Order: sequence, then C-alpha cells, then structure tokens
Amino acid sequence: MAICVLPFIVNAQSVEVKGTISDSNGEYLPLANLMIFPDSTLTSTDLDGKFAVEIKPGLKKIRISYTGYETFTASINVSADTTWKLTITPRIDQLKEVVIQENRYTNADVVQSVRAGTQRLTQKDMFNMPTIMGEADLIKTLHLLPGNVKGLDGSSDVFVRGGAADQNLVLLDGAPIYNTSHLFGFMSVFNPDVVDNVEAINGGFPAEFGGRLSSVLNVNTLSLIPDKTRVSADVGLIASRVKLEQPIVKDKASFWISGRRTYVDKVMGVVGYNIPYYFYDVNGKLIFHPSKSHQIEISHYAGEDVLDHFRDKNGDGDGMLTRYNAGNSTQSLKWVHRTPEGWTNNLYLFKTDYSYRIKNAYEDYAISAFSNIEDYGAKVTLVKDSVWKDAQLTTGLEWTRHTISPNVVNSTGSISEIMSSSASQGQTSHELAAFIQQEWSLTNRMRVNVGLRGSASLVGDKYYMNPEPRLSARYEIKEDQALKFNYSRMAQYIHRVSNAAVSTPADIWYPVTDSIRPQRSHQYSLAWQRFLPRKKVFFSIEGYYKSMEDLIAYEEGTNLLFNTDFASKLIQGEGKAYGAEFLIRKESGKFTGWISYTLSWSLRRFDGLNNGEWFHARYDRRHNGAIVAQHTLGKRFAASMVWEYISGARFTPVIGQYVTMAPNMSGLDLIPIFAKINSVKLTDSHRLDLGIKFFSKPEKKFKWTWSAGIYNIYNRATPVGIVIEADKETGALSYKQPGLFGLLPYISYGCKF
Amino acid sequence: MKVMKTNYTPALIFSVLAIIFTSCLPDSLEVKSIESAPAQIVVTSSVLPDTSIAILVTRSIGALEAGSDTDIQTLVKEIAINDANVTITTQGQTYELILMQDGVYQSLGIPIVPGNEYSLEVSCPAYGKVTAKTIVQPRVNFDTVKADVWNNGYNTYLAQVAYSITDPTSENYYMINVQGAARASLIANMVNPDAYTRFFDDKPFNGDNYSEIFRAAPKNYYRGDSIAVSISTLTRDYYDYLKVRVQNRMGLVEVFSEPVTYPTNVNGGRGFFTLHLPDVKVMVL
Repeated sequence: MAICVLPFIVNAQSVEVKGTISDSNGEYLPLANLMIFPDSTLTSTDLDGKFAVEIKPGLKKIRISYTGYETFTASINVSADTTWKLTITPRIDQLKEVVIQENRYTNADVVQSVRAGTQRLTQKDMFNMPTIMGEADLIKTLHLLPGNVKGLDGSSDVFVRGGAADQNLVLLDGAPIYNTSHLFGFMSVFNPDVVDNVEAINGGFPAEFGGRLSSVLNVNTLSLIPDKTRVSADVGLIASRVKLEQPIVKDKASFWISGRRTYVDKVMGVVGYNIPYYFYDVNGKLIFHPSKSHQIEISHYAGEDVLDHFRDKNGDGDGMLTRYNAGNSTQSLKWVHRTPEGWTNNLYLFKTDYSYRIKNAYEDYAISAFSNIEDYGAKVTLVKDSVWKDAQLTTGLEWTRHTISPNVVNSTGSISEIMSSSASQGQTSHELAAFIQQEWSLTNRMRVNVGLRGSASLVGDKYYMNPEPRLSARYEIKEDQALKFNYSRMAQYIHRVSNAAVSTPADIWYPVTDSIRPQRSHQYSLAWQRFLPRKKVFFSIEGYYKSMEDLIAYEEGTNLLFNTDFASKLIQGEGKAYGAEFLIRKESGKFTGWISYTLSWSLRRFDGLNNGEWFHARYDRRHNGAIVAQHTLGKRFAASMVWEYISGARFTPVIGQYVTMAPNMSGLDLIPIFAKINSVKLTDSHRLDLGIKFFSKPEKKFKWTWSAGIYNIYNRATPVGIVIEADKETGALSYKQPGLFGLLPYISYGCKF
Repeated sequence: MKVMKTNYTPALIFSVLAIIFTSCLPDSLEVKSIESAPAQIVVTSSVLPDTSIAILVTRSIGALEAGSDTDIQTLVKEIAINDANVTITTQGQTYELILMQDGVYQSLGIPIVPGNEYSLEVSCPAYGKVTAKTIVQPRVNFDTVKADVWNNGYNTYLAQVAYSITDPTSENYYMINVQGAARASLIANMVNPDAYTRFFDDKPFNGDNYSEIFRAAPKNYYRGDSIAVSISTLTRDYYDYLKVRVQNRMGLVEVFSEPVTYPTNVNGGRGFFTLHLPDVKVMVL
C-alpha cells in the first residue's frame, strides 16, 4: 500500500482532505469506507474512487475497509488542506511472496505515535529470515531487535532492557501465556502461520497494560474474514504445519484452524531409532462480524510437549519409565463494539492454563512432580476518539484470578528415602486494575499522553496496591521526525521461580504473599525517531534508565529441582538498567531489513548475595547488534541473511576447591569455590545465517515455496557457560566455553491454495 | 522402457537428520584467563571414637588442580599443611595438637564437655593464621536401634534401620549416618552412595521420644554385611552448612548449576570447625 500526501496551505481551523482510493493496479475503488479518528468521521468514495472531507488539523488515524481488500490503517499528521492518494492491496495479492509488500503495520505509525519503545513485527518479518532448523519463530526474530537481549543460545527467553525473563507479559489474543517455549526452550509456542501482527512494547507503556515490569508482547492472530476457502501447509525438517481458513457467511463469519507437530519421533522410528519426544500446537479462531459496529473473535490455543520413554534393557518387562508433559492452553473472547457516539468498547474474556507433569519410575520406586497455574480474567476498555477537541480517552477495568498449585512432589518406594513426598502451599490470588489515559495535542507540535493505572493484588488477607502513573510526550521536529519522552511506573504481582541461567518448563510461577512483595519499576526513556516516507526507512535512537525494586532471587545454595520449600528461600533486592538502542529499518521494496544495536548495562543487588554488593545480571550483555537483510531476486527468488553480534553473558565459574572431611569420617568431600557472582564475562559471539527461497510462478493458483538455508554458517559457538574439561590424551584440565548450536542446514517446502 | 525408481526417501531423511544432529555441537571456545581463588588454610575437624580430636589442615587449590578423576587420598598428601601450629583452647587452657600424618593433627588429652566452647587457632608460615570457635552439643544416644535387610521385590536390597531417641528440651539438630563398617575404603564424599546421611531438627517432637524407620538408599546391602549407624547433635551453623551441601548434590548440568558460597566458621580460611559426639552402633545385617 502506498500513501502520497500532497499538502496545501489554507487555514488552521478546519482543513479539507480530499483524494482517491485505488488498488495496486491503479484502479479506483468506488464506495470504499474511509474512517478518520479522532474526529470519528466516516465517508465513502464516489464511483470514481474519490472522497473529500473537512476535519480539524492534528494527528489522525485513518482506516480504510473495502470488501476483498486488506483493511488499511495509518497515522497521518494533518496540518493543512491535503490530498491523499491511497492505495490498498487486494487480499489475494498478499499471496505474492516474491514482492515484499509494505507492512500494514508500518513504522510511519510508530513515528506518529506518542509512545516510543515499541517494535512491530508481522508474519513476513518472521518468514523472511533464516532460522534454526528453518522454523520461523517470533521470539528468535524479536531477539534481533534493539532492547531485546537473548539468554541461552537458542532459548525463548527474552531479557528486555535489563529486566528478567519473567518480566514480560506475553499475550496471545489477549490471554497470557506462561511458558512461551517448546522443545525445552528452543522453539516458541507461536505458530508463525497464524500470527498476524506483534506489538512488542518495551517502554512508554499505555495505562491499559500492566502486571509485568519490562515488556508487553502482544501477539494477535489472523482476524480477517477470507472470501474463499484457503489451505496452506509447510513441511520442514523437524515439524510440519497446516492451516485451513474457511468462510462461513460471506463477509460476516469465518473460522480458521491450524496445527503444528514435530515428527522426529516418527521419522526416526521408521529407521529404527527411538526418539520418544514431540510437541504439537493447535490454534483456532472463530471470527464473527454480525454488523459493522460489532466484531466478535473467539480464539483457542493448546500446545503440549510430550516425552514418553520406557527403557527395558533385559526385555523382562521391568524397565525405567520417563514421562514428561508440559503445555499451555488458552481460550479468549474479544468483542469490539463501536457506538454511534464514537465510543469503541472492547471486552476481553480469557482463560489460560499452564501445567507440567514429570514422572520417573523404576522397579518399585516412582517420583512424580506436578505444577499448575490457571487464570481466569476479564478486561473492559472504552475508547473515545474525540472526547475533547482532538483528545482520545481510554479507560477500563481489568481482573485476573490466579489459581496456582506451585509444586507437588510424590515419591514412592525406595526413592522416598532420599526425596520424600511434599507439596507447596497452593495459592489463589486476584489482580485488579483500573486505568484511564488521555492523549491530546498541547500545541501543533506537542502531543502528550497522560495515564494512571491503579493496580492491586489480593492474596488471602493480604493485599498490595500500587499507583502506576504513565506519561508519554511527543514533540514534532518535522513532519517525518519526532522527539519522544516516556515515563512508566510498573508493578508485578506474580513471579517465576527459575534457574538464573535458563528457564525450563518446570519453572514455577508464584504470586505475592505476606512476605513476598510485588516487584516495581520506574522507567524513563528519551527517543528520536524519523521515517522517510519515500524510501520507507525508519530511524530510531532511544536511551533508557530503569530502576527496579523488590526483584526476586533466592538464597545461595537453594536447589530448585523438586523443591517444594522454595517460597521460604526467596529473597528480594533491587536492580538498575540503562542503555541506548539504535535501529535503522527499511520495511518495503526489493531490499528490506534492519540494522540494530543496543548498548546496555544491567545490575542487581541483594542483601543475601555477593555480600550485599552490586553485581552484573546474568544476561548483562554490553553490546547486542544484528544485521537482517532480505532481497528479492527476480520474481521467483529471495535471499536473506542474519548476522548477529552479542557480548558474552555473565557467568560464575568454579575458581578453586578444597577438601573437607565428610560428616562422621564417612569420607572426604571436594568442595568447589565459585568466583564472585556473575563476575566473569563469557566470550563475545557472532553468527551468520543465510537463506534462500524459490517460489512458484506468481500467477499459479497452487503456490509453493522451497526454503533452504544454513544457520551459523561458520559454526561458531555462542558460549552457554564455562566448564572444566580434561584433555583426552594428557588429562590436563582447562576451562572451555561450550556452545549449543553449530552449523545447521535446513530445507522446507510450503504450499497454499 | 520404464526405469524402476528406487525410493531413497528414508535414506535421504536419515542422512539429513544425521548431518543436523552431528553438526549441532560447535567446538568449544577457549578461555583466556580466569583468576584462581587465592590459596587459604582449610580446616575440618572430627571427634574420633576414642574421643580424641582430629583436625585436618590443608590448603585450598585452583579449579584446574584436581578433577573428578583425581585420587583424593593422593591429593590430600599434596595439599596437606604439615608445618602448622594447631592449638585448641577451652576453659582457659590451651592444648597443642600434634601432627600425625598428611595434615592430620590430633590430641588425646582434650576433655570434650557438652556446652563448653572450644577455640581453634591454626597458623603456618605460608598461609598465615586462621581461627574458629564451636560449642559441643549435648550428646544424644539411641534408646533403641536395629537394622535389617529390606528387599523391594526386585533387585534392590537396602539397610532398613529402626531407632528411637529421647530428645532433650533444647533446640536440637540431628544427623544420622549409615555406612558399611567393613569397607576397605572410607574415602567417599556425600554424594557417594556408600554413605547415607540424613538431617532433621526436633521442631515436630521437641522434648519428646522420637522413633522412626528409614531405609538407607540407594546402596545395596546384603545379609552378613556390617554397618555403622550413628547419631549426632550438631550446632545450627554446621547443620545449615550440611543442608546446603546436600541440597547441591543433585546439580544437573555444570553450566546451569547455581553458584554457592559454602558457609564457614573459620575466620580467614575455609572449612568447618565442629565437635560433635556421635553415638555409633555397629551391627551385622
């Protein structure tokens, strides 16, 4: 889609906006609907595709809808009489993958928004780059954007602006996701086929979002009603996906359903190997537009990792059983109602559930562990676009009920002599929030967004309350560039008890209690952003400072494995993080991609750790940069590359040891001496991935794509830690830094019709 | 003429997957330099069955000086401090301990009286001086104790121990230890299944009689084996230290294990100075 804005200078009180709406072939579209906010102006094009309206000057959001075409949204600053040439894209054209279309969620909107610290990703961003095993992955794509630091190589953890991995509110169609990973962290739960757009908010949080300190990852799945049945499938090396989109009532109702499953277990089974592991995802959505003023979407997601292994060496029926299941399940309802008075009312209802079960059994003994968190929630948001002059008002309420069974361990037989059965105290907590924010123009150049979120958590007889003021201000330097300031106060009432190095599916979510206070943060950021409309290039430089209170850690020496007494081991401290982020992004044309760089610091202090002195966070990576590029080669080829450079994470290696007598003279004990916590920096790492795609002819109805590539083409390790290894010949010991993923080729085939 | 096509698909898939999984691990990167922990005096203590006190005095070593394959007895010979001056002071009297062998200093004449405080001082030319203090806890003896072999119906044979004690009214922290009494080598650390150790405090039964039955897992014992079962009362700080050791015996993967600074009551050094009086019963299964 393209917008050409040709300004005229007339008067400041009321301006005339006229123009045309056409498709990508230049054909003018009659009776296309054009909505302009915050004026709540609705107009239609005439038979020649022309329109004309009078509106007040200021920042406008426009929305064009036309049957069979993508809904188009954009933010445009109108200061004088203007002519718009608007081009929208037929839905069918989206299937032409050879030409990378402009995003519907363009960075022009980002520049025009009052807020900074927000990144937008689309399905194309994920599909257009090489990845591990060829599996397009939202989280891996996010790692390449500024402000997002990855943890262990390949894992789905994201450390945003010096925060912890549990400080990200991950929403899938409005429902929280508590475990974002499959395959023990190496793939995320988001099936790329169904992801429509992603908003990653790292700063300048709107008042309607809260509950986590560091980021909001708002993932929305497809929500357009197709005009005909569509099927797509993708066959990769480790997983396959299939998706069906089906209209039910033309322009009124449709559904889609999509599935993904790994099949290494099946393939290796054919050739005689037993790999008893797989995961699957099922996504589905029912979309219903009963009228122009009502939209209803019902979403479902279920995914599970399954390991089921029985090993019987002697064939006598007495073997070792290992069983592991972990999965998310979410259901959500979204109801949007637009009133004639200009209110847009959104109602979200959701249920989300995450649980894991681990069982090991051998002979008479068995040990099993179980944990579960289940949420029910509701959120109402009321938005009025022109409540006062050009002011936009947003207000609403939010409620979530957490039911948590943190850790239940059952042991039977002789293993119970080492590990007895136990259970953590289950918890039920309620999170409540009310929020209001208003956005308006102070002057022609200055626009502000002031909000307040009041949040509370109730656990038993204990309650916590926190006011969370939010402020965003945008000063327009020129039409295409702006300075922005953001301040956010955040509070978090639920925490993940996890190993500091890596999250696992067996991590435990735990709410605030009498003794565990909510985590809180202040974040300030200052940004300069520019979007060059002709070249479609976006520039952003942003600095931030974040202070954090009552962060969660646990006493030294606490082993979290099957630990039901973890709550008494939790300690709280403070943290601070600061840095600068740079991004240059070209979002359309034959050559697209971005260059990102983050310079950051992240520090922690706990009374019970490191003698109460400040220390580096585990993933305090000083430099974090990436070059992401995609280039179309003719009509049927596209090449892509990713080059990433990241500073080493922090680590606490063993630097000494000593011998003591074990109790009662039962032997000698070799005890390790660790370095100061996170005092050693691992070696910096860099990685190059290359990919190529070969498409079917664009005019074919049955469209296919072959994708191939190589991850980590020069096979360099990204260190996960420091270990001590013995030389195979001499036995001499030395420190080594192992990595997880070396050179990994991939190939996949996708089709749609 | 039609040419019969061979189906290479399974072989192709297998080959591709084999390439993937074998190429998955890149070569480890070298580590340029990590500063080693400075050598310090390490002190550990034990009360021997003849009620003499033994103090093992060694030095700490670098992480690369010993590994999992190192023979610990040989290592102790190498790191033993044999030129130390070791004294224990109690009730105003100072006793000098004599070097027996390989860093083990011993004294026969020190009275070990529950409730008394004992101060240890160790000094040597190379590593300076360290000090530590402990209080001997009241001795608690088994009221009854017996052991038998228990079979789980498969091939697991454990020592099942039944015992009872009378808990003093004070706050007490207990350690029970089961190990083969006739084993040739007692060199085993706590993760070694040859020695089974459990810890508990008396909060649930303070001042009352207490009895329980437990099985010393997971070492197999058989009829005719001799085992030693002992019970000791510990100071709170030594109990906490041992709990940390036990909690960290199940570290899964080195790079993901959490670092621990093990508690010590040795000022200027490492290790633990503690004097507890075990009640030891040796029995034949």
